[in-house]
Amino acid sequence: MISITRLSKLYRMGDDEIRALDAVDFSVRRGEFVAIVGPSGSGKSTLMNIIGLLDTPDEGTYLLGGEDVSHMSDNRLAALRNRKIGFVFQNFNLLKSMSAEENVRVPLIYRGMRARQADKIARDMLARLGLGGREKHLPSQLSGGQQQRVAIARALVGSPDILLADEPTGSLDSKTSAEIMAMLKTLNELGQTIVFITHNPELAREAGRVVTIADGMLFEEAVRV
Amino acid sequence: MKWLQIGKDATRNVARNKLRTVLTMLGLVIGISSVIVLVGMSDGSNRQVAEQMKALGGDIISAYLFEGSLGYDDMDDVRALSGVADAVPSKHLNASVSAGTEKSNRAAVEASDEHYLDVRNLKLAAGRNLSSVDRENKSKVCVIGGAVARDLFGTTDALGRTIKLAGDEFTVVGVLEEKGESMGLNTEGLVLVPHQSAGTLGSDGKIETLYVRAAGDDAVQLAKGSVSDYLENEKGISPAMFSVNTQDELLGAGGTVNETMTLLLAGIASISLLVAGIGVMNVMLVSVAERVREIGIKKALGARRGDILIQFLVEALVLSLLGGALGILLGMALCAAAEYAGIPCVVSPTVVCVAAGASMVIGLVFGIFPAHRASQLHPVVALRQE
Repeated sequence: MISITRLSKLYRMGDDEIRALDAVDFSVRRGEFVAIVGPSGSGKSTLMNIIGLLDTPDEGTYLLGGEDVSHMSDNRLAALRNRKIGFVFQNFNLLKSMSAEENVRVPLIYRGMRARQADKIARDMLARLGLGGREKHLPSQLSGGQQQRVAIARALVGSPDILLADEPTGSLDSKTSAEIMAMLKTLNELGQTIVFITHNPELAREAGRVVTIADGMLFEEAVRV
Repeated sequence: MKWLQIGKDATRNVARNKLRTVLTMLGLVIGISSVIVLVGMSDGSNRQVAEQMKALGGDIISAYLFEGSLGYDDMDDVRALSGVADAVPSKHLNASVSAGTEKSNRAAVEASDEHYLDVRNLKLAAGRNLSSVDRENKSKVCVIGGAVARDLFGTTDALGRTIKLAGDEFTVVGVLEEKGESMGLNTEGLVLVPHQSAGTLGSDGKIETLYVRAAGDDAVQLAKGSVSDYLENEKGISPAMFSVNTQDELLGAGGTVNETMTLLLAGIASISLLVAGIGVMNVMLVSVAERVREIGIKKALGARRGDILIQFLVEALVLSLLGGALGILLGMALCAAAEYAGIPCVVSPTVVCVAAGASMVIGLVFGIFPAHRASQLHPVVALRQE
């Protein structure tokens, strides 16, 4: 599904050159639940941005579903993001002026789907995640856990190849965190490939495979059966 | 479908910031409505001039002699000139007009002949025109305007009654149809007497002003040429000492002033529209800056550059078209008010279309830069924005 070889990303800070990612090799198979753990500044956000097609690498290659996506135009990347990646962010990143249902259908609208059809799919997805009846609520009218579930619904609505979760429980209390983690695990059991990024090693253990990132380099930690 | 959703989104964003939207639109409303009113007043005054032209007849030529004069017999020569259909002498007499104890201060006594009404496009409401018999007999008769009749008798029913011109008694044989006042020609106050009967009113019988009707609109220049030629070569008057003007030329001076005014006003209106456009751009830039994160999220969800560009462009268009529409309505209302107050003002469909087009162009021109800026945002940078 994901095959990354010798991937590097450089940032220039004045005269200094910082290697946010240094010749990273990383791969994810279909149906895997992989956690990437690392402290802030380790390069995990950079890796996530590249995996999520928000950014492009300076060196190395990134194959997504066999397709080389290392050097694509912005619009090609946008189309691929729309179809292959589902994002879940720490701070939910819902569109404030839109209802839950409208938020969820956004990826489908950008795909060119008719609003009526997109609405139906969005409602079904919200119901699947236990948000039936809250379709017309604005994000501000929902709790943190509910907002994150709306965000997960939005990430899943386009049936992406990969669900990319960046600290999805970072803004939630421990009880709600556990609910969200349980939900991700269930989704994975249903076949959803998930890449989960966190700074919390304990949470990472929930995943099937954990890799650690430090100073722009990746280390495989453990493989559970 | 996608565009429809993007359009809906844009409208919602415009509606969300009501005060800002209203203030931004205000610039456009003022700009567009002033364009409508200014062009409307210019069109209105042109319409008025055109109406006066039509009332007077566009084929009228006036000749003024500053030196020398013509006799009444010369009128036959003038009428026979090429391009000339008819001609009349015009002699203004300084005579008081009264009947019994009533006086008419707006009355203007003019000595001419039976061709006068035809040449000046006047019609009788009652009675008869002057005649050749009146001329030959030097009859003390007159044709009067409605206002004179009302001043003297309290009614326009004045046929057969006697009025006093400088103390001399004249019989009213005709009353003119009411036509209102038009350029340099007060038909309401006209008291027309036979040229030959004016001796007692202090006329020396010398003709210094004449009106000529050309034989059709395309004979105007020909008639003007032959009258000038006649005055110079037949009567030996130096061209510097007479002037022959067509109606167009007399109105032309007014037209030039009007044109300068229109240009000036159009300039002011353009400046106000430019300022309004800058207001739209300013607000759109603020709007983009406020919603960097939203742009980032949308890009993460698959929005292409074009999607973001269209969203903000539509927002600018909604702003400017709404402002334009209100401006057009306000302009039409102001124009109607001006017309009601007696200032001629017409709103033509062309002006409305141009104003609507202008607001659209403003939205596009001043919206494209902020929208382009939004579309070029890097998703990683945009998502990082708090």
